[in-house]
Amino acid sequence: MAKIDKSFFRYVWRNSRREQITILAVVLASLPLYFWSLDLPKSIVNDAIQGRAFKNGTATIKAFKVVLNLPDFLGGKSYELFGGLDMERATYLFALSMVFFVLVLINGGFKWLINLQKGVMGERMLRRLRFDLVRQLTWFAPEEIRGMKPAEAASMINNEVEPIGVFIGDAFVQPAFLGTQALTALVYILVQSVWLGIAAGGIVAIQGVIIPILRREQIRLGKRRQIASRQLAGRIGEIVESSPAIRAHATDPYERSEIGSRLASLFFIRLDLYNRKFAVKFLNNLLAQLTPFFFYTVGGYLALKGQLDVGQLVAVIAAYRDLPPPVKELIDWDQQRNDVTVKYEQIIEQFDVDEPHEGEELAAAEEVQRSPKISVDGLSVNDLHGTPLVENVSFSIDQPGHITLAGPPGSGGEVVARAIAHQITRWKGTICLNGQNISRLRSGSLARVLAYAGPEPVLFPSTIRDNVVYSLRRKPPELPGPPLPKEEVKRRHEAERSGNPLEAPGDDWLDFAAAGVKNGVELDHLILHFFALLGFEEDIYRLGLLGRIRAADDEKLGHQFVAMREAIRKRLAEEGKSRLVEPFDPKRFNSNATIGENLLFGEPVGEVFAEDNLPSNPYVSKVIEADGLATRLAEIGLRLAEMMLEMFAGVQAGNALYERFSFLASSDLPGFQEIVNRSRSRRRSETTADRDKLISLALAYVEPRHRLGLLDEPTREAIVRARSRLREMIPKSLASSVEFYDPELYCNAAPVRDNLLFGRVAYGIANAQEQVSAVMKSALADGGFLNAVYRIGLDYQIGAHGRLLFPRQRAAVDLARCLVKHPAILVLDDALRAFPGMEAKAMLGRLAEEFKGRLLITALPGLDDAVPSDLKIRFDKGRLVGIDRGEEALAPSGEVNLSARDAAEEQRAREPARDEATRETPQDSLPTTQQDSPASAQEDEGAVQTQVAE
Amino acid sequence: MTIESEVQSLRQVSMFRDIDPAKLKLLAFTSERLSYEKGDVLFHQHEISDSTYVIVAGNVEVWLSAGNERIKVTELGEGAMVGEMGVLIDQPRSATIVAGSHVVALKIGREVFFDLLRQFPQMSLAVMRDLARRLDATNAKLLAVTR
Repeated sequence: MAKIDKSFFRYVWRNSRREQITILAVVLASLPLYFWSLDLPKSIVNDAIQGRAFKNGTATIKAFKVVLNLPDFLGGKSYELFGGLDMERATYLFALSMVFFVLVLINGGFKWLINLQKGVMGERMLRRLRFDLVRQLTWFAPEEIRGMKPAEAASMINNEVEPIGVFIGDAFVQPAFLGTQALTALVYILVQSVWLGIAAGGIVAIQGVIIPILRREQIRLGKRRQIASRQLAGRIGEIVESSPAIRAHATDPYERSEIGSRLASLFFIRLDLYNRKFAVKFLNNLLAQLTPFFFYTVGGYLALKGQLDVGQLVAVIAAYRDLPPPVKELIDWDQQRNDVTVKYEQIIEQFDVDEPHEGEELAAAEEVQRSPKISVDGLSVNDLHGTPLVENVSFSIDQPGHITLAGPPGSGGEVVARAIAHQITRWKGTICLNGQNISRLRSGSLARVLAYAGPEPVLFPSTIRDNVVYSLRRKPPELPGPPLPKEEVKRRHEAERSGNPLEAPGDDWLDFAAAGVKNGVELDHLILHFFALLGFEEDIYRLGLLGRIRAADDEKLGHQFVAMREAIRKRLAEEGKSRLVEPFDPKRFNSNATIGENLLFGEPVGEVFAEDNLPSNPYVSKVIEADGLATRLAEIGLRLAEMMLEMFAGVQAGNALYERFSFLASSDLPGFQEIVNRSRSRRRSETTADRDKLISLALAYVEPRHRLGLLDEPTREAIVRARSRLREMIPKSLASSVEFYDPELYCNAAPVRDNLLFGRVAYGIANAQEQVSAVMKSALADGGFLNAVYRIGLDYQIGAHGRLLFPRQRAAVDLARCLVKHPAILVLDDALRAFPGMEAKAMLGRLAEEFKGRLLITALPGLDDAVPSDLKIRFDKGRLVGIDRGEEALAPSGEVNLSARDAAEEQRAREPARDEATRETPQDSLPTTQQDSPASAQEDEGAVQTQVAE
Repeated sequence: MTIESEVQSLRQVSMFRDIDPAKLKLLAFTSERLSYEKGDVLFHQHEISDSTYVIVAGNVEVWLSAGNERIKVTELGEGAMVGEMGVLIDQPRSATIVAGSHVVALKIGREVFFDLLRQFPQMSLAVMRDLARRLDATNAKLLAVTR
């Protein structure tokens, strides 16, 4: 497929020629009828109303007679094709009016058809344009794409092309349609009266000349606004990305003022635009109104003098009614054309990239899989401002093994690793894979045999599983043949018409064969195998416990987990650990759960029954009002508030102690002080809002945890009673908002762990969580359910950029992604930096073991001497300073060089800034490459919170 | 066992003796009350110092290990605070603490401990006084040994 045409009209014409011609044909077909509809008023007025057709005193005439007059050179004969109908004057008037009405309907129908076709065609072209832009985005070399701001690219492809799409429908059709329509009207007027025609034409000409001139400024302003709003989008993206830095340095006032000034410039551009636009509009309207003035005076005068009959005048005025709108719209079209072509060219410029060469297939693919050989010859890489990163590096290995690219950080090994993995594409020299130059390979064929893990894992906001199997999503699924469902036929047809791929996304893309498995279950096991290798297994287990069964796909598993409850409880009893867990019992208060949990005794689905919303929920408040429970809870809330106010008096607002321990945020304190004061002075007069707030406090209370001695036995009993009322009387409309706990049933809304435990771990016993977890795990292992839990763990949603995972876990996911496709070559470029030194060493050892018989290429700062390697290429300051082969390389000290790891960290931190500084930046910008590193501090906190919450 | 009774126990701790009861309540509230069986380990030597413990009931044994040898240094009873030194100087645990009986302890997280010290000068003073007293005792012992 070729790249997008630089000229807007050529692009549109090339890709929608057939549709454009069809619509143009419809436009042409509509014209004769349109002309007739202009002419008809004349007949109505002259022939029917004024009775000219009946001048000879006849009562009836032959109406609608159709006579074909042959021209003289064909003999000049006349053929009567239709003899006509006998009609009286009144009947004739009605008949003509009916014809007029029908013509109005037909013309309307044509308009409808043309508009619809235009709209559909425009949308199709928009789809194609967006798709082409995204496709071109994937053509950029890694070096180039780093210079692009994600938010700006998104804004261009998403928002800025939208008006272009709307215009595409009009690009050819609108001028043809409006032009011919205006011309028809003008010709008609000219035919009726040359003078009126000249007047009308003259004014149209004035409109056509003056207004575009006035609008030129508007276009210029529009362009400025487009650029300004794109930059705004970019800036907003940056604010989101750099929010940790903004918070850390409290620069939000600065950021706000910066955004404020951008908004101001957008505002003032629009203000200027309005000034112009409405001035032009005023002029336009004036000119449009001027013409009827001429018609009434001049036309009226001509009619008085008998040079024009009244019917003609009425028809001319009616025809003129149709003249200014097309002219105005034509002018609009012309302005849009200007506007859109500028926009289009602007966008296309940003995406100006040549289609990469098709490239060669890997000739010796099977041989590479069996025995990969790499040779690097005279490799030199410069950074963007020409400073050499590595110079003239040559080495080769002709059998599987482990190549260490050693040297202090920044000495060049990592650059060579990236070049081999084709993460850098601009170099001098050659890199050959089994004798074939990798620069000439199709990127797909290199990816089939080589995997690369870099320092910054690229993760998608999806499940762990999806992220791992991403490397296998490369086998376009076979398209099923007919018979196809109607929807599918439609989908494919449309995809074809707009140059989109026919294949739908989904799991059909997974290349199971490459992973050496047959189906999804086997693939899961393979992933778990790799996670075990990467020391990520335990994490997956814990994430599995926090996860939920996908209700639809595993009812059986739910039943089995319910059965495990008993097994776990039995095992706890056997080990004398029963006191560690207080089981849920529908008839008993669970003192280790919050009051709210005890009251609801179920898992909220959605927000309706979330703990914060319980007190204000009308149904819940009705239930707890019944036997005075609400009053008791409000009382507990009140005492809780009093105690908090007493205890936290003197603790400064904003102190972390509040966040961690208080039931109240520091900002709530004054509010609660007032509530407490009100309640103390006149106990009875609390408002409902006060009461709800107090009950809200009480609902979070757990006696053994908070130990404030606020719960007495009658209250507990009242809560248990309210619990059963709540469940029994729940209205149908609310039933789906909560899933009640039931000892016999699996609760789909609750995490697996809660389902297995069906109770709460007791507070106040040392290491209770750990002990319970261990018992649970051994019970699960004995029951054969560990894998089920692991597989649920793979369903864990990792958030944007994997923010809900720790850096270590992110690295593991990225590595598993590399391993799962069974590459013949694995390139590790500082991919183990998230792991502590000793763990990184152990993992490298395991990876080297796994890659026996394959090729492992590592550039891992600090781990140069950690494990034996078959070939050690030593670098210093961008130069190859030595190659240790075999025995020399095999004698590692086993050392992990921690300072080298730290140095690598620093080096990396400097890198993006340096790249950024040298990039030619057309727009002012902050660095956005490596965008998720500044956010990682905060991300990790999020990860901790989520994962520790159990 | 409620906060009130814990406050009573905290008042037995020499370093908290002079502190306002409301603040002791806050201390108790922001800490975790944990019970240990005899032989349970509160923390191991060389572990990261993430919290300090106030023994509310029972007694604990302080064990040191060097190489393969383990020696019991001392026993501490109700009202003793353990683990605060490592937290203050950000060093790993210097000893292993084992429950010598059924033990109830208040576990005060590192951050909370610092927050409290920062917020309430009396508390900082109390900790200082306690450390000074211990240093004094150590000096006396040293003197006794060298004499």
